[in-house]
Amino acid sequence: MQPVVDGLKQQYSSQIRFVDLDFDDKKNAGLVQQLRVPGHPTFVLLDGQGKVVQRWVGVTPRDAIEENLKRVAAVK
Amino acid sequence: MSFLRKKVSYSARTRKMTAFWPLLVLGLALLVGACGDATATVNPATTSAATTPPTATAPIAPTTASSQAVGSSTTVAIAATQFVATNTIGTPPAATNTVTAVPATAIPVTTTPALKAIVQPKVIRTASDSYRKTIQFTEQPVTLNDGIPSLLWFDAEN
Repeated sequence: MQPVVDGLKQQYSSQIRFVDLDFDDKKNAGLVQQLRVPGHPTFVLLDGQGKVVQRWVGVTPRDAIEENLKRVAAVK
Repeated sequence: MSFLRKKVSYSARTRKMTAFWPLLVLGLALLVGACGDATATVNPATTSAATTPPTATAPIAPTTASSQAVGSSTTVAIAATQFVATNTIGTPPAATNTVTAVPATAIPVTTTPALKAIVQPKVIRTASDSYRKTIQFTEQPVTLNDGIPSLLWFDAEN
C-alpha cells in the first residue's frame, strides 16, 4: 500500500493531511477503538470536523481512495 | 167499656201515629237539608282547591327564578374565564404565571472534543525491499478536527 499512499500524498498533500499510524502501537489503541479500526491495513478518511467520511479495510485500489479524496477536498 | 177503652186507646195510638209522620218527614227534610249543606260546603272547598294550583305554582316560580340566577352567574363566570384566556382584561391568575414562568436553565453546549492521533516513528519497507528506511516522524499529537480533512492509514510495522 506504500506506493499508493505515496502517490496520493504527492497529489493531495496540499489539501489533505496524511497520517501514517502503527496499528499495533499501544499509543494508538484509543484511536483504533474510537474509529473502530478492525485490522490493518485500514484507511479512514475524516472531514475537517473529524467525522468519518469513508473507511477502507484491506488492500484498496488507489482509484477508490482518490475518488473520495477529491470529494472531500472539493467540500473544503 | 172494653170496647171504648180499646177505641180510646186506638184513637190515642192513631193520634200518636198521626203526629209521628210529620215529625219523620221533618226529620228527613232536615237530614236531606243537612246533606245539602254538606254538599254545599264541599263545593267551596273544591273551588278553593281548584284555585290552589296557581298558588302551588307560585312556589315553583321562585325555584325557576333561582335556577335562572345560578345560570346567569355561571354564564358570568365563563365570560370571565374567556376574558382571562384572551388576556383582554384583568391580570392572569397566579397559576398561569407559574406555568408561563420558564426557569432559567443553561442549555448545555456540546463541544466536540479534539480528535487527536499520535504520529509515531514508523519503519516501512521501500518498494525495492532492499533496505529498511525509517521515516522520521516526530511523536506529537495531531488534531484531526481542525478543519483540514485527514486520511489515516493504519498499518503494521513492516
